[in-house]
Amino acid sequence: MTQALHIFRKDLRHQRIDLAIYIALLIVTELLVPTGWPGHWFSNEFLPWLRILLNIVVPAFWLVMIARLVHEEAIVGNRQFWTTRPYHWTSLLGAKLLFLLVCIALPYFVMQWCLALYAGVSPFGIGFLVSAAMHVLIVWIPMFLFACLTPTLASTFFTTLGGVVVWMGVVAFLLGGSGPEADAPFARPTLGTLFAIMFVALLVVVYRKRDYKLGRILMGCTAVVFLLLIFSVSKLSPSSPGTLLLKARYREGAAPQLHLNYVPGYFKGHRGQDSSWLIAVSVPVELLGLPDGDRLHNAAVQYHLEAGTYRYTSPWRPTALTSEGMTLRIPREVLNRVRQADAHLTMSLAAEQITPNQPQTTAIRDRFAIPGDGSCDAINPPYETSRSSATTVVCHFAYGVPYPVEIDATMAPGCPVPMVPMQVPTYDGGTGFDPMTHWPIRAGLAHLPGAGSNCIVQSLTTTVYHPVMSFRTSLDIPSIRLSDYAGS
Amino acid sequence: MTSDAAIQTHQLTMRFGKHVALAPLDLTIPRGSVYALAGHNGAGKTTLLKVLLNVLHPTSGSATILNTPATQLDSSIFTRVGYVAEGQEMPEWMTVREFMNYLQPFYPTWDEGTLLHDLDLPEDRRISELSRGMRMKLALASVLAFRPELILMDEPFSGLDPLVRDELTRTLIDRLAADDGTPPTVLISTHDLAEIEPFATHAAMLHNGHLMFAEPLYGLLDRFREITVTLSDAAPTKHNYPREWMCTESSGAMVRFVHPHGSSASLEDEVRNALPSTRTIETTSIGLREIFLAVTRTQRSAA
Repeated sequence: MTQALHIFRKDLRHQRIDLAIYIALLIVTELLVPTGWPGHWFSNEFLPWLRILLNIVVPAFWLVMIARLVHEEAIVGNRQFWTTRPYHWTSLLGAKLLFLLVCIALPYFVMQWCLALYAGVSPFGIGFLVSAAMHVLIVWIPMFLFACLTPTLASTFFTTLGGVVVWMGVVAFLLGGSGPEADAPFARPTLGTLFAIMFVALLVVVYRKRDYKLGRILMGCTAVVFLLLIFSVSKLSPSSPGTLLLKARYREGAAPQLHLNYVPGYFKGHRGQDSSWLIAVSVPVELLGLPDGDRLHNAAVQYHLEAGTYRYTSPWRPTALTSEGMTLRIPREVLNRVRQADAHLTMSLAAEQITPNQPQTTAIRDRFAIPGDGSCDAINPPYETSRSSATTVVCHFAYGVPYPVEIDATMAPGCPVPMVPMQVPTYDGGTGFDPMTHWPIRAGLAHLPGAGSNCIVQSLTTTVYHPVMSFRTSLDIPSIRLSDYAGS
Repeated sequence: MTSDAAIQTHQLTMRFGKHVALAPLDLTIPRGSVYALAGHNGAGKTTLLKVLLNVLHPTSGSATILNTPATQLDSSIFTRVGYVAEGQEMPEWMTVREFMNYLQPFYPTWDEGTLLHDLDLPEDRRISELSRGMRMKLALASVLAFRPELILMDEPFSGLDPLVRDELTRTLIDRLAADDGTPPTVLISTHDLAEIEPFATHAAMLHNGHLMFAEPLYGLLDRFREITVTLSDAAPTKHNYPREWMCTESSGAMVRFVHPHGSSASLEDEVRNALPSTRTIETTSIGLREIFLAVTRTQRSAA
């Protein structure tokens, strides 16, 4: 520990100018990011460009700092002075990771915390931990490893750049134009843990053995494993590890009161949104047993179709259960083959049941907190001194919204009431600079004849959902003609 | 089990692809010795040192340093082993003083005393601004300061002016006299054999990865002799001299060569058998440098 601190202090002295520049960049970022928030009026046309520039410069500077940090006691090569000095590999690795944490991660998170506090939101929640873990696993540790396995700053830069380009190309190639077929948020902690273990093993190999050639091979293997897992999870084919994860998380029979019911001919012809090769077909299936007000979250479906000798089993794909039925996304080619046939359809639905908390009404003020750890600002345009139909209410949430939040507006008497409450979509944080999600709410409606005054939102009613359980349930439909529901 | 050997190798082999950098090598370096390791460029000296220090991993065979297998050297062994090498990377941004201060906590036995002063090193100058000679002096100072049991030096005098060489040599010799009477073991790979000869106790030579000899210096200097043979008639222009004779030259009635067993009692018989018209045989002692040249030239001409 003493040696690690000694090396850390040396690195701190070595990179004090880098650190000063980095902090200056973060301060500029801190000042510029809010200018892009909804409801902020800035006339300077260069500000958006500056924000984009900072989005490039800051990560590039991370790479520079990390490369200089690692190359100070380089792994690659056989002329480094430190290899014949009494360095404990644990102290060296510990010192480098401490620098990463204290001098790169901490200032960055402090910048994000300041932004959150500026928006009136506490940044310290589970969302921050998720975002921090994603930064570490997706950005900083890979950069660190690239620096470990290359001898110079230039080679680190170009290897990282090349790695990112190849990575994106391979991912695009593997996932195809359709992108991931099902999101598997439940898989993230598992994958995150798995890759944290792999990265730790890589760092140990690289620092303990100082064997950069083996490190390069292992890093390549890790990338391949990572790609295969991404492919497997995103495609969620019936026999993939992703499906196993899904089945482990969403257990069959966990909610016996919930079951699917086929209502033939109950409704027909509704069309969901098609993609280039997937046709959305709403089959007349309803979910029985769901209490009033409860909803499904992260719903995915897998189905098996049999028509004569033709059989097709889908991967797990996102679905929606509405009053119009359940949406099945069927490949165009498959649909063409079974469209007119009496098909045997079996389906399995996996979803989370979420239930609303007690709605809470909050009167509009300049700044006010809402349930779900959100904060809202009533922002008047520069030409208005008081609230008017042009006032915007912007609600902020830090790092992410794991479960949906519904916001309903209450208008002044005589004004039209918005029919559908605004829903803040779920968002689970990421590696963006701005830790906030912003949801503008139109606070006023245009002056209406007979209303007597501008129609201004007076209060917001917020409903936060929380999870009840995850479940999986199945349905067997011996005979269905999909052409009845697939439209023309 | 402890050994009197500071370094021991057994069938140590290093290959880079098809190139054999070290042929199976058996070498024992006794504690307290000053071991000169000679060899032409590319002979395998640097590779040997790096394998000993676990910077490179051997293809096969084994080596021990201070009774620790070279492949298992951990940080603690480097509090007892110092390494000085030409071209070694150092933290260029540090000043001389900062570098020494930085290293000090790593070593419980650190005692730099007046080393920087003795070596005339400017404490406030950045390492990046030091000349080649000053860098080497700093590297040596940073090693001598912790009084290692074993010092490995790779071409420490290469490209240095005579004054710096003298300073380095003097400092090294001064520090070899340890307070407790157990002088460190020093292994120096160098071309500058004349510089090392006055204080070396042993010498070894590598040629294309093969060990030509490794023995105490006094024995080496005793057995390698330059032999000048005067003949009663002109020396034969084409003659199959004995294979042991190295760098054989003939001029008029005189034949000169280096003999690896020049102090042997059987030398005269051997010469008279090979050159029946021998009138006189004169043997002269030669230095390490001449021995090195003779062996290298012989090996090259044999190849």
